[in-house]
Amino acid sequence: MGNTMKKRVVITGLGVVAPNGVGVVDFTKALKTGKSGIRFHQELKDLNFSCQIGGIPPVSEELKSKYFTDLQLRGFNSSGILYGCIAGIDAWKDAGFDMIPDSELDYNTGLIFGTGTSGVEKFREAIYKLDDNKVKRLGSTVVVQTMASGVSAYLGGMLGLGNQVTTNSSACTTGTEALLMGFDRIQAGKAKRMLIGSCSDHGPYLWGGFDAMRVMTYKHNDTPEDGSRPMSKTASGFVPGSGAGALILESLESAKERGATIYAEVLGGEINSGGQRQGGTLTAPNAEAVKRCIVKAIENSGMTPNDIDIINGHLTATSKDGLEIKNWSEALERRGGEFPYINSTKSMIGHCLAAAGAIECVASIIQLKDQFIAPNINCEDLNPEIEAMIASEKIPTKAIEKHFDNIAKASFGFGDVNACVIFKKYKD
Amino acid sequence: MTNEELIVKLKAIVAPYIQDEAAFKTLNEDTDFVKDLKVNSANLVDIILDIEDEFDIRLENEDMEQMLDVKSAMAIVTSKLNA
Amino acid sequence: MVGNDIVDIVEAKKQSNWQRPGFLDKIFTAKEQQYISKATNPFIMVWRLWSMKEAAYKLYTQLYPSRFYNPKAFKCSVNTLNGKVKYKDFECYVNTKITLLYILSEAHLDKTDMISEAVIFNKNDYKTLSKITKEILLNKISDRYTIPKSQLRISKSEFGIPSVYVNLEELNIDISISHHGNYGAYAVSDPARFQKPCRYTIA
Repeated sequence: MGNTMKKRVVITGLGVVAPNGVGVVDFTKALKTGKSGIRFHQELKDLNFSCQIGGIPPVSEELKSKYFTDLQLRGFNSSGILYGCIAGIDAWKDAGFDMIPDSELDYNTGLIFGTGTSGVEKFREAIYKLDDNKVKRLGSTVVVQTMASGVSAYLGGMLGLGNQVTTNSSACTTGTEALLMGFDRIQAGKAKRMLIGSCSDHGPYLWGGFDAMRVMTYKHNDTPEDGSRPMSKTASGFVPGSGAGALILESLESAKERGATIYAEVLGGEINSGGQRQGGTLTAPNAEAVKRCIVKAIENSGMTPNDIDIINGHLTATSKDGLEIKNWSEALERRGGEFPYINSTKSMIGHCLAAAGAIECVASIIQLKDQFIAPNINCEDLNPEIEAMIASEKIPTKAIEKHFDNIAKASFGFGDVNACVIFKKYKD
Repeated sequence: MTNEELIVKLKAIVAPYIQDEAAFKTLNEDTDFVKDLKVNSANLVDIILDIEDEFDIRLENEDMEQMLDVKSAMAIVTSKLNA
Repeated sequence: MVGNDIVDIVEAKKQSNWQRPGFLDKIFTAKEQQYISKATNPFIMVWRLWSMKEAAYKLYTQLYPSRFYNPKAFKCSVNTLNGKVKYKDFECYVNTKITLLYILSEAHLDKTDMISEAVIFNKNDYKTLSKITKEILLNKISDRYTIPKSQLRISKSEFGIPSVYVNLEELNIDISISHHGNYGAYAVSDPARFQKPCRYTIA
């Protein structure tokens, strides 16, 4: 086994800013009680959006000021960076570290924090000023708020991280990809710890393009909490969300040495692309590549398909949910009552786009740690196409307590890119 | 110290831990820390530590055992102060 | 017979400072203080042990109706998530469940699985929690024994021990209720239904 030389990687800290809960405690409560974070937004209506609902994390001014100085908040208008920093700092502190402005540079810890695009509203502000011939009035923070790696730049400085500090971007796969990239780096012995995560802005300027593609639901503007319906017969498109998730990955050695609390172990995973071949396009997945990604992730983790107890799917509530289930079923060679439990965190928070992978990885770890399966809310009317493949009780609509060991998390993104990771309950 | 003075001091000590305002307002000798004031039982330890600090006395486990209401707290404090 | 206790982790952090001088000494034996100092997360161990003591106290006072405050005299020994609590000649088994939100302990006279169910609230208000936890418990009992809920009532003895009444008659089941911060927990144990011999008679 080549694996014996590689370092074991565990998770020692979590942070999350989700539409239905900010912080691990509130998010855990929301997952257990099936709380929706989807609300109606007048701004979307005023701008003639078809979909006028979305998920925005409840972050108060008071909370902001706990993470940012007044100076940092001056002219600050990048919700993704805001969410990313809160989640990142929370994860850091949760792992037992302090945030001290003059702390010693930590060469052993790196940061991979992904996003799709940064500071869209700040960018819009800047463009208006520019077009008004006021380039000199832009201020000094437009660049750091709108560069893709803005969130990593902010966080890296707040925490004083001295290993690799970067941002990845692979659409809705981003967060899960970041996790696996951090995992690789620790496994290869290049870092002791990696803060990984992803974030996404909220608001019409980010969501508008999706509205134009008609992939967001327009049927639930009056009943926002019912809007996000993955795997349901009446699923009619996704609901946009926003926020951030962050996790501290750490070599088992280092975690033990520090006496850190261990949430779970990252066994391994796989990242690939369907190359927009065999039915794959810019926006649709190549099913063969998806299945290969799942199979390889399990192989790389030293598991067999039957070891998977629970799947936290990508499952966005578009017409592709059935195809995703089919891919899982074929990749695992398990169907009907043999299929693992499966859920979609998106039923409660919508599709948080670039942040989805990281928030849902955090959701997966919380379920593993607290030994429960979060509900698929709004899935009382299961899609018959899905019911023909897997038993309906495998798609719980209420949280259930369950002892289990392994959870698979997958994310798929525009550009025909895939990522799948396997988490295991930590045992010595 | 008179009983009235003692009650005033005890009232100030328990104030941070009470969860029933109405019962606190009418606090008297018969008031029960847990049943009436809904003090969290872990906070009873804080009350005991606060009483020790305030009156410069030491309460043993046997003293704590019956300290569930204002009356018994007063009796214990008084006996310690007179000891 | 069952005794349970739930601790809201966030609330415990706010309400009590376990590092306050004298605090540990007043509640925990030397052995328990060793568990705490050796734990990966001492804070969690403090409240785990505390909830074990509370659960054991609730079980003890059902057997020997009384009311007192002597947490240090309930002596815990623990391994993984099981443990034992001794008080004088009394001894019981305690299971503990540690979640990201709360710590829940449950004491029995025999080794057995946990039966408590937790209730998650979105507000932290003593009266609401107490009331709703009781309501949920009564609904459960009403379903299980097909007794109209309007005829059911929970009443506490002078020692604070809860019992369930059908109209004026006491129902022959044991219950335990706990709530703290944002969480409640209830347990219903039915000696007849579960064929568990009751080895002790209530004095």
